Amino acid sequence: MLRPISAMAADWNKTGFDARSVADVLKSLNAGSSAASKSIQLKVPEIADEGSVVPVFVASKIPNTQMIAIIVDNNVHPLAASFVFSNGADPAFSAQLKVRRTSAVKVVVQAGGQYFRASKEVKVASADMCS
Amino acid sequence: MTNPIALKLRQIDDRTEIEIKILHPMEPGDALTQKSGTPRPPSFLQSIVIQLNGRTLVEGQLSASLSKNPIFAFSFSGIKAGDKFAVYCTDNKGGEFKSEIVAQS
Repeated sequence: MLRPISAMAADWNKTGFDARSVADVLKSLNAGSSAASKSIQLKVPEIADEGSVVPVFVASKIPNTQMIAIIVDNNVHPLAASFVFSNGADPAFSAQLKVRRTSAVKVVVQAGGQYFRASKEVKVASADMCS
Repeated sequence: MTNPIALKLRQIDDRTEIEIKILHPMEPGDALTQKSGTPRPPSFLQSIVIQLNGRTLVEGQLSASLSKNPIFAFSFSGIKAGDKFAVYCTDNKGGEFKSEIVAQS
């Protein structure tokens, strides 16, 4: 059943997106405790020349994956996006992140009522590091 | 007014991938403009919904920690010719955008 698009806007996780700490982001996702998982594919460049456009690809091989959230630890607002998958959509996405400075990029997956995580570091090249 | 959403479908092995390009500033609102020193107001996409033949497949919540003019991709199996994808987006200023594409094969 289609919810009105305006209802989607009302559902926006303001607490999570306004949160300034990763701990508060995880709390807003109810993901306070999560298990590290090797079944989450997280592709980000090791070094980003341009921190304003950092490509990311995430795919979860965990059965019954319902939600995937992506977090950039050192951003002012670490929660970048979250996606809910249903009706047979592959639990995967591509997007581009703003990564303000060298940071861990974390993925949180909710599958079958449990939470799982994966993380990779993105180094952001900056003027200070040119020598 | 041109639609800020451009859609493409491509076949990759047994999957159909939808690529969604959206023209949007994704401005967080905490940056200072160089000229006037007045902060630019926030203007960013907040939600995206992908539907297939009227059924919701993906619901996304977005923020200005995503890049300007974002490009999203999602993938699906079992897509047949004639299947219709609809993509809806909203932004923080109440803007609503929509685009549709029909699978050719």
